[in-house]
Amino acid sequence: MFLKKTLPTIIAFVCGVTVIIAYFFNIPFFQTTAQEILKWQSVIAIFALGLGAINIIRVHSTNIRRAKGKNAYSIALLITFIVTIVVGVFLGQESEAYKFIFDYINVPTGSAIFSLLAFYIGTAAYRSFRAKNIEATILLITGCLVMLGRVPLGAKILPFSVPATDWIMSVLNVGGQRGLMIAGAIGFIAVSLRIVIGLERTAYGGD
Amino acid sequence: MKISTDIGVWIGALSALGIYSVLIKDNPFYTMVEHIFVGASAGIAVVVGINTFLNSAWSPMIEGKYLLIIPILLGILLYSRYFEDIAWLNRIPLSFLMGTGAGVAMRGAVESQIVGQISATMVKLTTFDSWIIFLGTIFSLSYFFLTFQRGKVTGVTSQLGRHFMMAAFGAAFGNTVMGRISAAIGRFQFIFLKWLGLG
Amino acid sequence: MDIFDKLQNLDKRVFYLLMALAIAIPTIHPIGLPVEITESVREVYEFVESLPEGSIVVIGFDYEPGDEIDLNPIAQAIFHQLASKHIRIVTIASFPAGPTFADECLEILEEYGYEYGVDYVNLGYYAGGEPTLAAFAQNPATVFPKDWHGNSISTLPLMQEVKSMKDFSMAMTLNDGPTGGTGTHEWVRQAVMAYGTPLIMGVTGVLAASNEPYVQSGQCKGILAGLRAAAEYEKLTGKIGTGTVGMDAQSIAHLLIVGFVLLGNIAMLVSKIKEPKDRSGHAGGEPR
Repeated sequence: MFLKKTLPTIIAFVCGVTVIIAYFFNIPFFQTTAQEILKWQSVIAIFALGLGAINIIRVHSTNIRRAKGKNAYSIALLITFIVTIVVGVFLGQESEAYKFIFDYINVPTGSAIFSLLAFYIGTAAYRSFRAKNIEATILLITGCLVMLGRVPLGAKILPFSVPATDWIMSVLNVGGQRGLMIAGAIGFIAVSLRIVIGLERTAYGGD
Repeated sequence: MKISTDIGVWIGALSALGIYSVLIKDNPFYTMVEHIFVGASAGIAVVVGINTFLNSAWSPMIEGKYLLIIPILLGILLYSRYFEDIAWLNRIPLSFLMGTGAGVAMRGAVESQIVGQISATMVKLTTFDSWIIFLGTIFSLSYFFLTFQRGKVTGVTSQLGRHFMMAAFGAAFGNTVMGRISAAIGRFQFIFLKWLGLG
Repeated sequence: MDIFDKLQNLDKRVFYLLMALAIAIPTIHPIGLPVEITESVREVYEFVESLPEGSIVVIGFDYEPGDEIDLNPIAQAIFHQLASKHIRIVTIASFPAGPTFADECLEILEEYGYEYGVDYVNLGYYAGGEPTLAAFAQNPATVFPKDWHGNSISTLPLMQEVKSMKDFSMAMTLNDGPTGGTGTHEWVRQAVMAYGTPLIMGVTGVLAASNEPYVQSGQCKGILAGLRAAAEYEKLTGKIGTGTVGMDAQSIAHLLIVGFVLLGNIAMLVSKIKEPKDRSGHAGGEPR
């Protein structure tokens, strides 16, 4: 029970409180300890990168087993995964082969996937940006003005859109965003505090 | 038109076309390219992770910073989740990460996101713009007052707060469109200029 | 079904095709629309100009593939300006792809005679997000005993001058959001609030609006948002790059979306006007 429940709570509390004290008070002991804690967490966090990789291996090796080796997608994924690791670890991150994978597989495909949103966001705007009530109309007007004010052609067609975009961004937007930011920070601090004092044990797998 | 003879450019262009083919219909070409991307991305994350581990933990440890063995062991404990009997052990490194993360975030958030923002709002209200920012902040904050029943005044202010937030979301949307189109422009430049040699 | 009803239910693939053409045609045949400099970009430029010559800045490559088209041009434009003032550069990254992007962007420094280790350093990737950035801010050597290329940082002359975040005359984050890396709020907390180091942001469009309160409050010296800001910055530095080239396609694509939104609203309005008429036509009458 102590190891499963109490120890993790103590660790979270000690780590959290130490880094907070070190920030507000210039006490050498806390400064040194906090720096060590921060360094240690950076090392632990490196291991978290491997968790995703293991999940991928588990899911796709199960897929291949279930399909009796006929799941070409999972096979391709695992081959690419292993080849990338072998190239990166044994030939190095500055090798031509690693750069080839990065520049001609990872970046173009990743960019293409992200850019699909350019198409989806356009149709979403077309279907949902309808002036049905005051709030939707405000959203519609500010969205369209900013879209026009951000590009040279928009500025040519509707010169007013450029100063309007500047004003929307630096005044109207700031009012709304600042309320969101403060409210979000209060919620964020409350959750952080609950984690540090052990009221939010689910955050680290407790109950 | 001068089509590229670089095999890498061909692979990059065909990968992008494979992804775009989903706009017509979901198809095996798209699924294959998507899987290859996931494999390469995960592989790159592992490679970078291994090198970062060697550079920032393993080398310093064997060069004399022996205490680093503790976070290394704690890191290994993260993987206990894959073994049912000892899965609870991963709570120890997770509590370390969560406690530290929460402490670090909390100490700065009060200053930067609350005190800093409030003091920037509470300025001399001499211009129209400063009034708009002041009222926008107060109104949109009042929307989040959830701990008491809204009366007439707070009902109006929270409604106005919603209007301000809608304006902010509209501005965010306009900018988001720009970002997503940029990504497409990058790929189209690759396909039409670098691969097909047009333009 | 009349034209307005058809417009309300347009096949999305028609839109996809038009969008593809809107981006492809200006990419192949650029129009060369002039990009005007906005006040917000000029402010960033002037702030960077005001930095002392020969000082050191830290730049975070906090983005992953997909956002490099927005952020690489911003990084390169800033590097041109920094190099013209012989300001030295340290790069770090909170995404695994970050150090490779940094390496690619840092290549342009060669034309200014920059020497690795003396004038610029790529420290590489750090895991753990904000707490690790906090550790870096307190003492960079604890997080990066070696750089991205495996050199011990005690052998790099530039790093001997950096003992904490205070030693940087400016911090900059090139950021696409906090998921998986260090976000903009984290940079404000760890660079500005903790050490008073001035911060500028180069962000994807989506983050521009939510970070604007930091500019108004003075916690951030300025934001460069997306390809548009890159194009403006390229004009200011006189080094035309990919940011400027993409602006024509950006213009047409934006116009297409705004056009479609307006069309959708007109169609909705016309359908609404027609609706009561249809209803009155049926009311009271016997169905045939």
